[in-house]
Amino acid sequence: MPFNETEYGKGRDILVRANGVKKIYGEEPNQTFALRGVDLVIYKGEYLCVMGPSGSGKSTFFNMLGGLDSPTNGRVFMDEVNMAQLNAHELAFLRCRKIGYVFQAYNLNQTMTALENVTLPMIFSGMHPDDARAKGINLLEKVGLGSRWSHRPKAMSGGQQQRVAIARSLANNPQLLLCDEPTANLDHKTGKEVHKILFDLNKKEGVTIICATHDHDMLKVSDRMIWIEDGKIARIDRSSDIEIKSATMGKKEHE
Amino acid sequence: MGSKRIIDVRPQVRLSAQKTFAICLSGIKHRLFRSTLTLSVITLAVSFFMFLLSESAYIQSISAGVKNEIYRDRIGNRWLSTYFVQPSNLEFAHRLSEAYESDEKRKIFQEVNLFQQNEFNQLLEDANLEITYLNYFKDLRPGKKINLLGSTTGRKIFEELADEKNWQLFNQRMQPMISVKLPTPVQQFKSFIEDFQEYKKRLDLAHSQWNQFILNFSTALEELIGTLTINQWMVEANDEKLAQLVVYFSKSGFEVPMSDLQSITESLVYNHNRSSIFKQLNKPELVSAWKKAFLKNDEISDKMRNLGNLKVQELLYNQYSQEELQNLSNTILYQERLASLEAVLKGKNENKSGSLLSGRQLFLLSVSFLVCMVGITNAMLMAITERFREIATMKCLGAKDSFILAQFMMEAGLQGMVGGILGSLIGLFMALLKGSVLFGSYFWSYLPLNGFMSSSLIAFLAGIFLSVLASIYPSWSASRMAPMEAMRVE
Repeated sequence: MPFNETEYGKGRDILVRANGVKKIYGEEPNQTFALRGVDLVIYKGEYLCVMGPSGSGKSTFFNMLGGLDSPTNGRVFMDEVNMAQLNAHELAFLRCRKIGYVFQAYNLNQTMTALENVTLPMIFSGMHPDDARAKGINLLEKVGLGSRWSHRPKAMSGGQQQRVAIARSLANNPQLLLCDEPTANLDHKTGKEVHKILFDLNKKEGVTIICATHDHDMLKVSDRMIWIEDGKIARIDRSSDIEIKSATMGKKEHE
Repeated sequence: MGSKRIIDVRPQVRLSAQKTFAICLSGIKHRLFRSTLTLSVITLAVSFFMFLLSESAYIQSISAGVKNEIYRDRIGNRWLSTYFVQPSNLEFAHRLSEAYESDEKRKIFQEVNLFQQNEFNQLLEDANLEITYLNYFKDLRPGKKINLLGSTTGRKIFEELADEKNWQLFNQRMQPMISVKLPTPVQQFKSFIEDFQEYKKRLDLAHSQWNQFILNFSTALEELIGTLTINQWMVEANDEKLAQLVVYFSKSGFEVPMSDLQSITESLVYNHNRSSIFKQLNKPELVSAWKKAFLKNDEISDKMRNLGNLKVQELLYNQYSQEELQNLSNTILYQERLASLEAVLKGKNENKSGSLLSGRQLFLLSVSFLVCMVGITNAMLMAITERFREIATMKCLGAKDSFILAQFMMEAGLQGMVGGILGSLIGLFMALLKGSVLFGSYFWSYLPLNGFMSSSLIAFLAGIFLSVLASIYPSWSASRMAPMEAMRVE
């Protein structure tokens, strides 16, 4: 059954809207077309997965949604604000309070403790250090690392680091969480913990999550899946409409 | 939808310097450890700077000490020549110039020459100027000197330049020589030359008065010393006789303390013994005996060092006691040591202006600083390339460009501080090492603690300044880094 945009979007608030987004790298004649015109509407409270082979323009599109890059053509609106019109200070404000980022390589500051990492965005937003500390501990407890606030990233496993990174991304109560393959560097079990945290955030607190992933477990819990190929949206699926089978060898390992 | 705006967008708040510094401080230990390259470059530069500074500090202090000791060593002869020898005109000007600096000597001159206070001060000042200019022209490099003044030397310079034509020539040649600047403005030099004849008259007057005084004084003294010279008389004088000399001095209007006279006599006795032994050793029959005893070296001064030697005492017919000879031998060694130190210091102590560093050192220093700046900039750029993900992540989390810039500059400042402390310690250690090798015990007795303290402070500040200056470009380039770099995966 093909995806029906009008039916899907009925009664929902729009958070992000991309209109004919194009991105071209390089000068003529050596131009590379990363995006060839993408239109997409993302609703509030949605759990969205973006998929696509490498070189498909997925990362470029992702950067545009997060306000990290500006399109050559077309516009990206966040809550009806054109991101291309914002100056550097306003973009910093947007990144700090409205968008949370979770990276594939965790990107924690190695010289800071878990708590310092989590409180960093709050300090950027001008919060009082004591409040930031209390909230940071709270967030770390939420991801199950309350007792390890004083550890440095080197003393933590990958899954723990990623959970700290999620706590950090939630520091300023963002409306949008951008996750760039959050489980790619994790094993199946720790990956599942991360899924659970993200799923709970989405369902209980209504945080909009956009996730680039190839993880089938994550696809299962998402509302929509977007397939990008060759700089265009190839297909949009509702995950409830399709059946996802984990590709496993032999017996299923986790039952 | 449409006009309904759920989020508001405002400019990001500015972080206070205090908070930025707090963030910078967190984990600085790890960061300092990681940036060993930058740190070592800073340390190297600062230690070199510190080495130069403290070297010039201790050389200044030692040369002052050695000068003082030489003065003390020759105090007897100086003293005698001050009161009992009629000086030449130029020598008299030299003494007046010395008196310009010290109140005590001023008093002596003023008592002899019955000038008015202001008149006398004017004379002192002019004499000082004359000596300064003469020294200045004497120190000019030969090529420049010939170009400026021809082959004229000494006081003739002033007389020649008083000729209007010669002055114009001099002035013309002076203009293009940027490195040759008179110690005072040319205009002042010109006015000095114009007044030179008048000044010379006044100087001659003062000089003749001084000579007259010395003549009168030594005539009066004949009653006391008889036909002996004052030199011989003082060597043999006991305390009673010295007391009589003090009376003669006070009759002429000078107060000379007894203790001064005693120390002067002591120094005279040494010199007297030395010259009398010298005379003995130079007798023809003894020279041949010397040559038999010490074939290797027939330099008389070498032999005099061995005065404690038994053979030498035999040769000297037991005229002097063993202790006396030993003392004399020690004095000679001491004087030779002083002379050699003076020679070493003469080469080292190039800067007469009293500033901390000479021109050559300043040049060396600026070149080394330049090289270090390039080195630091390079090392920091490298460190920043390594940290691109951290910087980009910071930006994703809402850091402003100015925050990144400030953070990196502060980090550089901290590195400069650590490098400054390490560098000044290393530099100080090197300077201590070199100084103690070069000057031995002299170095430790004239240790310029204040000089070391101020030079380490200067070196420390220079380290911070250097590293902050060198980090401007790397910090700026870090602050311009695109936030999407954070997404990149190796």
